[in-house]
Amino acid sequence: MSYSRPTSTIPVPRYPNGIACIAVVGKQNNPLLIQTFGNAADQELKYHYLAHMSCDYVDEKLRSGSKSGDLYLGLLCTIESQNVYGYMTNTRVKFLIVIPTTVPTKDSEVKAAFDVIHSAYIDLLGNPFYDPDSTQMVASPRFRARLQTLAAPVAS
Amino acid sequence: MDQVSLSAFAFLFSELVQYSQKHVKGIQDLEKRLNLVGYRVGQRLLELLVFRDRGSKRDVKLLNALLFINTNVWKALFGKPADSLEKSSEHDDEYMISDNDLVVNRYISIPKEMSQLNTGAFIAGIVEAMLDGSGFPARVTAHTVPVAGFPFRTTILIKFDAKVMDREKRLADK
Repeated sequence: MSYSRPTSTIPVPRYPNGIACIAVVGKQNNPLLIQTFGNAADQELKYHYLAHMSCDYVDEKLRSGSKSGDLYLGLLCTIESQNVYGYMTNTRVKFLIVIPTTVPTKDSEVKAAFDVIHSAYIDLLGNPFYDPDSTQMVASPRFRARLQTLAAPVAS
Repeated sequence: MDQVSLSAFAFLFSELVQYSQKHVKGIQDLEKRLNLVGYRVGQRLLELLVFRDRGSKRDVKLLNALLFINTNVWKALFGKPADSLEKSSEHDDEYMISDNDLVVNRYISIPKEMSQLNTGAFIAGIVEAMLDGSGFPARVTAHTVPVAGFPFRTTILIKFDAKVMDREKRLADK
């Protein structure tokens, strides 16, 4: 079951084609889930560092532009030819999407991807056995599977 | 939106109160327990409702967050907005949300020895979690405040932390 916002004329969302990594970072900047896809699957450690560095950029964005209170934070930084996009929920849980700069991506695609992650996170919260304050990595296989289908390369 | 049978909920809630009663030794404890249960519900409800109703925006101002609770949350839980939202005249950091006929209390009659208890503490827990999660830590309690025509009117009293009031002042001055 996934929640959707009422859409007016939004066409069928297309997701960025070459997501290298999706990271979910908790309230206290503790990693909840760092999942790599495709070719990057063997470089987990590098993405751990990337996610950690991006947390500082998130804080900077918040301090400078918090009047509007938007959840989507946009392109945070570009490190080692990887673009990092950020999104923060109401409860200060952050989502990061890392896409190599070689892949052409549109803002709307990234926003659509974040919506899917947010809806998967809300489903995860609905699980009464999941403690949102815990500092451990997320063990739910269903959440991971949702992220996997999101990042699966679109057969064109 | 899906409807849930009122009697099913009333039975479930009454079981919850009975279960909590077995493990506590007094009224304060019972209210704290119900508050805790409500807190867990509120954490999850906050994410869900912000995603559904607020689109992509976070509430940065205190009044907006309270209005969000007053209308959206009450509508999602009870099908109608809360009856009133007031700011206390004596204390700057106190606000009150009132409901003339709280659904959770409708089928509960408090015995005379426990007249201080208000099982709306469950709802107070939900509100506390929503404010805590959005970055406005507060202490939230439920009280029975009878008013002419509504003997069972429940008031949810919200007392914000000093940090929140400081931040509001700074934001307002900017």
